Order: sequence, then C-alpha cells, then structure tokens
Amino acid sequence: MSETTPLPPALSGRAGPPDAAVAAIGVTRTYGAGATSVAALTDVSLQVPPGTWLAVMGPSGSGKSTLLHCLAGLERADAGRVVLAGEDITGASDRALTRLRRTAVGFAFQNFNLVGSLTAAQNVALPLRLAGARPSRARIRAALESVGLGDRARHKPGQLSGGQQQRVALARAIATRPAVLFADEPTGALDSAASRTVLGLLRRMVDGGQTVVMVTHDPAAAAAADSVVFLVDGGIADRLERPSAGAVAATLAGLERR
Amino acid sequence: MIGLSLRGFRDRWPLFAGAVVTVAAGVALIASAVTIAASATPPDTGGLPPHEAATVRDAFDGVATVMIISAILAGFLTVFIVATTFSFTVAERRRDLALLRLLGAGRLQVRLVLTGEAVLLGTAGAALGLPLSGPAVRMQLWLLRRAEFVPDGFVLTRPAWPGWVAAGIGVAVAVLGVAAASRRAARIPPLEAVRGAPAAASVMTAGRWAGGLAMLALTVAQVVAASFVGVVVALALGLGVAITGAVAFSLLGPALLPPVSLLLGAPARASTLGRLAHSNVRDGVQRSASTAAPVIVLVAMVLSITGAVNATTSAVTVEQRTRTDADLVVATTGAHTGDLARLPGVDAASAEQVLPLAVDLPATDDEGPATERQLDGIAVIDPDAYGRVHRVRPVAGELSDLTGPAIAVMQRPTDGVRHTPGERATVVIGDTLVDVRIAVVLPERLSGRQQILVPRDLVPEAELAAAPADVLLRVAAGHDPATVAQAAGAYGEVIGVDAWIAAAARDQQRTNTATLTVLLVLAALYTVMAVVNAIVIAGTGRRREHAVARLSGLTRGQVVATTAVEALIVTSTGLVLGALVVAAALAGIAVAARRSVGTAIVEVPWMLAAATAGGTLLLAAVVAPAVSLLVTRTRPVVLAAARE
Repeated sequence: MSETTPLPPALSGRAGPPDAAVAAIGVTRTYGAGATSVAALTDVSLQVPPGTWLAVMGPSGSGKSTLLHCLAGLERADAGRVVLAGEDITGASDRALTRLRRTAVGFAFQNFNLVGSLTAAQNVALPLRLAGARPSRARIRAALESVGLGDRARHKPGQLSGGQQQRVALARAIATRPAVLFADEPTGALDSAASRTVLGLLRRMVDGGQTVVMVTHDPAAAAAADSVVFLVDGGIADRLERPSAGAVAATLAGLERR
Repeated sequence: MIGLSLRGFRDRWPLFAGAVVTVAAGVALIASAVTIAASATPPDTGGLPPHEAATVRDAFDGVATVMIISAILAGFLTVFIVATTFSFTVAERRRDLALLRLLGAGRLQVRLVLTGEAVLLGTAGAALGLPLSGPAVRMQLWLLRRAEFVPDGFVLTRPAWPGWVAAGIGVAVAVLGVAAASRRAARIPPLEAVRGAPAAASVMTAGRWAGGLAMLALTVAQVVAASFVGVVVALALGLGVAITGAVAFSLLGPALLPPVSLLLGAPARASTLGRLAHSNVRDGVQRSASTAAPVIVLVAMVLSITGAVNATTSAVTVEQRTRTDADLVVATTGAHTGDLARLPGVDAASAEQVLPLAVDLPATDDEGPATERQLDGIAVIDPDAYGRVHRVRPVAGELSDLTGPAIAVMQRPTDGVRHTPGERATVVIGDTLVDVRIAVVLPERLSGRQQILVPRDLVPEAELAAAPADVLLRVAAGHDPATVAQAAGAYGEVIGVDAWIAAAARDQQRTNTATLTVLLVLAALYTVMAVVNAIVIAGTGRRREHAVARLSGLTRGQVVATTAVEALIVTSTGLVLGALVVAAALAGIAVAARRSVGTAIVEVPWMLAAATAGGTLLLAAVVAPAVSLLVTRTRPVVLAAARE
C-alpha cells in the first residue's frame, strides 16, 4: 500500500507548502470526456494556514463544491496535487484516505450529516469509534455541551432541529479535532438565528486552533471567515482578507456582472 | 462495530422485517420437509408376506422421496430469496453506507457492519423459524394425507437435528447472501453521501454478467443433455432448468428488464402517468429487478415442474399407444383366455397377468456380483400372443426365444441397469424357485408395468386360471370390433384399447396432481410471500421520491396509481422472463420425449399458468398501491425537506 507519494524536497514533511493545513497546487478537475467534458476546476492553487477559516464563494457552477471535495480527498484531481495535513493525497489509496477521514478531516454539510439511527452522542463519537478509539463519555459530553446540546445527547437526528443537527456535526469535529473541518453551506438550511449560532461556534473553534474550509452562498457567513476566495468558472477570481459582509456582497455582485 | 449493526437493525426494522420473515419461513420449510423425510423409515415388515412388505416399504420410500425433493426446493428457495432480499436491503441503503465511509469507516468496516447485520438477521429468522416448523410439519402432513401419501403405521418422529440443520442453513445463507452485496457496498464512494442524488450505480457488474451467463449456459446444457437421455429425466430436468434458469434471469435482470419492460410498458406510455411509471421502472432498475426476481422463480418453479410431470404422463400414454397393436381389452381371469382367442373375428388374444411373483436378477453392488429381488413390474404372458398385440423390438434376442426356463428383462441404462442374454435369474413362484435364463433384453420403457416378462409355461396352470387377467384382443380385418366386443362381454368387462390407456393415464394424473400439490403448495406460498416482501421493500424506500413527485403537482391518488402501474409493469416483466424459463424446460422435455417415444410432447399447464399470472398481477396491483398509500400519509413538504 503506497500511502503517499514522496514530495519534492521543497514541499516534503509537515511543511508541505510551509504551514498549510491543506493546500491545492495547480488542481484541475474535469468531468466527462471529449466534446461533453466540463472543466470544474482549472489550475487552482491555494493554501489554508492552520487555525484559519477560509470561505469559498462563487456563483453556482463555479466549482466551489468540487474544490471542497478535492481538498477533502472525496474526489481526485485530474492534474495538480492536494496536500492535506502534511500528506500528499493526490494518489493516495482508499485505505490511506479512510485513515485521513477518521483523523484529519471533519465534515459539516448542509444535509446528510448525521447517521439517522444513532443518537447525537453516538454520532459525535462515531469517527473516533471507527478509528478504533474508545472516547470517554466525558469527552463526548464536553463536545456536546460546548455547542449547547448537553441535554440532547440521547436524541436522534430526526428529533433535532436543523440548527441543532448542524451543531451536533460541529460537536463531532470538536471531539475529533480534525486537521481541517470542511463545511459545505453549513448555514444553508438554517434560519438566521440558528445561522448566527453556528457561525459563532465555528469562530470559537477557529480561535481555539481549528482550521475550517467553508463553501457558502451567504455573504454574512463568508464575512465571519478570516479570508474569502471567489471562484468563477473553475478558477480563483478574487480574494479578500477579513472582509465585511458588504465587501463580500459587492465583490460577488461585481463577479456576477462580468 | 457490532453495536452499530445492532442499531442499524433496530432502526431499519421495516426493511429487515421482511428479510427476517423470509429466513424464518425458509427455516420452517426446510425443517418440516427434513423432519418428515427422516420420519419416513419403514416399520419392521418381518411378519408380512413379501409383496405386502414391499408395498409398505414403497409407500414409506415415496414419502421420503417427495419430502427430500421438497427439502431441496425449500433449500434453493431459501438461498435465493434470502440472498435477493438482503442484497436489496443493501442497495436501498447506499447513502447510509456512504455516510459511514465519509466519517471514516474503512471498506472492511462497512462489510463488518453488513455481515453483523446478516448474522443478527439470520439468527432472528432462525429463532422465529424453529417454532414455526411445528405448524409447517402439520400443514405438510395434512397435504400428504390429502394426497393419500401417508401409509398406515407412519409415526412422526421429531428428532432435533433437522431443526438445527435448517437453522444453520438460515444463518449461513443470510451471511453468504450478504457477502456479495457487502463487497459491492464497500465500494460505494464516500462522495455519494454529500451529493444531492446518488450516482447511478452500475448494477450489472462483471461478476453478475459472468454468473448470469454461466447459469444460462448451464440451463441450455441441461436442455441439450435431455435430448440424449430421454423423458425419464423429465422431473429432474424441470426442477434443474427452473432453478438455473430462474437464477440466470434474476442475475441478468437489470440488463433484460429495460428492453422487456419497453415492450410490455407500451400500452402504459399512452398516458402521462403511465410514462412516469415506465420511466421509474427503468430508472430504478435495481429495485425493479429485485421485485421481478421472486416472480421469475415462482413462475419457473410451478410451471416447469408441473409441465414436466404432466409431459411424463403424456409420454407414457403415447408410448402405450404406439407399442400396442390391439383393439379391445377384456378384464377377466386367466381361465377365459382360450375362449376369447377362439371368438370369431379375434386375430390375437394376449393375456397379461400380474401374480405375486418375485424375480431375483443379477446385479452388481459394492462387493461384486449380487442379486436384486424384484417384486413389481412382472407380467406373466404368452410370448407368441404378446408379440402379436405389442410392437416390441428387443435389444437382444427375440420373443420366440422365450421357450423353456427363460424370461425377458427390460434394461434401464439411465439407472445403470443392463443385461445380456444368457445371464441367469431366479423366478420365485410361491415356495418354488425356478432357475431361468435371460433370453431377451427389452428396450427401456417409461411405463414400469412390464419390466420383466415371464412366459406362462413357468406358472402352474391352475394359478393362471384363477388370477385376474387383462386380455388384449386384436380384431381381424373385415370384422366389426363392436360385434367382437359384444361377444367378449360374456367373459368380462370390455373397453377399447384407447380408453384403457386413457384410464391408466387418468389414474397416473391423479397421483401426479397429488404429488405436485405436496411439492409445490408450501414452496409457492413461500415464493408469493417473497413477492409481497419485495414489493413492500421497494415501496417503503421511496418516501422521499413520492414527496418530490407530489410537490411537482401529482395528487396522492396519482402517486399511488403510478406505483400500481409500475408494479404491474415489473411483475409482467417477471412473468415473461419466468415464462422463458418454463419454455426452456418444456423444450427440453419435448426433445427428451422425442428421443423416448418419437413424438415431441409439450404439456403447458394453461389453467395453472393463467392462475399464476393473474394471481401475481392481482397481488402487485393490491400490495404496491397499499404500500404507497401508507408512505404518502405525511404531508409532502415535510418529507421532501427532511433528510433521509
């Protein structure tokens, strides 16, 4: 089993691209072949330093989700490389990717987040249990309490609201402490109060050292991040640091007019 | 991991309930067939005369044979139905499994979860099935009694081992059935958990193609082989072709379903709802194939076996007609043979008598040469008269060689029984042993009534005169058979030879029907249950899909109607594929009959076919809408927005 492809000296070791929790280097991803092929990503390079929060924005079909999937190792890049938690995952085997999903990657998606048959506490503990660890009850309870769901540990996802479900997903990331938490429209299905709670939690996690990569449509959500990249037609069109919601909205509007 | 299996099991119980019930019913069915077969050991027949003892032994052997075939059928159905059901439950949960993969479950862990489920499912099913085997035994015995199969002195022993064997099969089949499905499930990409719609999985894997084509080849091979052996193998052929053909078409189902349903769904496409239903059938090809599979098995099993058994009876009748050259049959005693022969217009009169004789034939067993005592199928005849009313072409020797202490013996190459002229045998007449020579070897015949011909000279005249005799008369050219029949009427009941053969066929047909009832009723009920089960599983997994359809403007009634049309299209596709298997079995029997009796015989049980098709369609038309009525109870907005 070849876990990782050796990196060129400049990129090897944890330094990867120096000090990146996750980095894309010239990533290209094309769907289909021949005349019907669609380039979802073209030569995208970016790095996310540890303990920072990157938001990815762009119009529908700009390749946001594909970028997220490539960074998380759910899709393979056709060209270029992805370095996640110091490992080049471009050609990694399924077994290596499975190990990474347990330890280095967390997910919080708009939907399909939690295993319906498990309670909130069991969902939080699942990645650790799958990795063969026996997380203590206290650790799980602490994770749930930190998202304000200490009293919902025994509830199943079906008995929780959308916002609560999303908070369980965040508690799962708190308990697992992945190198990168990938979030795809984490507030997409939530009302504004629940959105604010989730964004506040994400901010607290980032301040505590968690790296977050988040795809969103919502300028308010993007403004909570440390930096925002804008994708258009599979390429990075713009980048803002510590933006306001207004600046994000203006940039987005500008891009959509082009 | 086992904890995760347990919870998956508890949470998805509607999906698994059907699977548990299929294991339970299969275990009960196997246990009951094996229990009765094991009980059918003949009692001590030491005190009985040899012929009565043989009758008792035969009756017990008959029960054992029928029950062993039943057990084989039950075993096959259990394997087939449980494996199909379980792979279906895995296919219905692709997204759950993808989510597990997303959260870091390795391929092996996914397989462990599913195998854990299978162990739980199998154990629950077996635990439920064991107590059910009591009622199953009672029902099976009731069917056997109704068919007058159960001999006096039959005592049901209840050893524990058939239950354990059946339970073991149930658990093993659940685990093996999930093996292939779990291998496929382990390859589900984690990405599928985050995509809106699951990527269409390629249902026809290379393994599935290979397995399906291999089974198809095996089916063709059996049909070809039948043409070399003859109709004696009809029942085995019907059973074999039904099994391999049904498995072949079930495996190839996802590939065959779209084109076949295109043909059958043509009338439905006239309406918008019908077009939607037809698109759904083609879109959910895995679901459709899983629903069609038990229908294929039901049709293939019931009609192939019935067709095979009925064709055997027809073949015997054809054989009797072509080999008999007589006009009338008189039921009388040996005393009147001479009188009948002397009647005006009688060209030939052959008395054929069954007496309590035994013949020891040379045979070979494991320890070398031995003798085998034969009590049935011995006819006492007059060689000369016999040759005039029967068209016999011996394999070796001539009927005229039957002079002095000599007999004619039929060879049975399919059973490995061959004889050569000159071998010695012993005829047992009362207390007298007569050493005889095998002078004539007769070709194999389907009817076992005249396997050994003993010339009348070997039997004391007084015994012959007193014993009942069927005297076959041939009317001389230029004489009216009616006049001869009237004259012969003075000596006994006279019937035409065709009516005589037909009466024998009717008797045989009654026995066949009874046997088929015993064999097929429980097996068919089990398969029908599997059909219902598949329709229910297919329906319950579509809550969300139905909700989306209703948001697109369909009324609840229209959604329900669409599922009914879908179920009808899928069921009729299953019926057509099943009919193809039956056609293969009947073709095999036709070529076999051609070899045995010179005529291709096709017996299509039309009434049964119509009942099976009608019943299955009715079932689909009732169950599918009922399930979709249940799953469309909730308001659609709630469901369409909810996560699955």
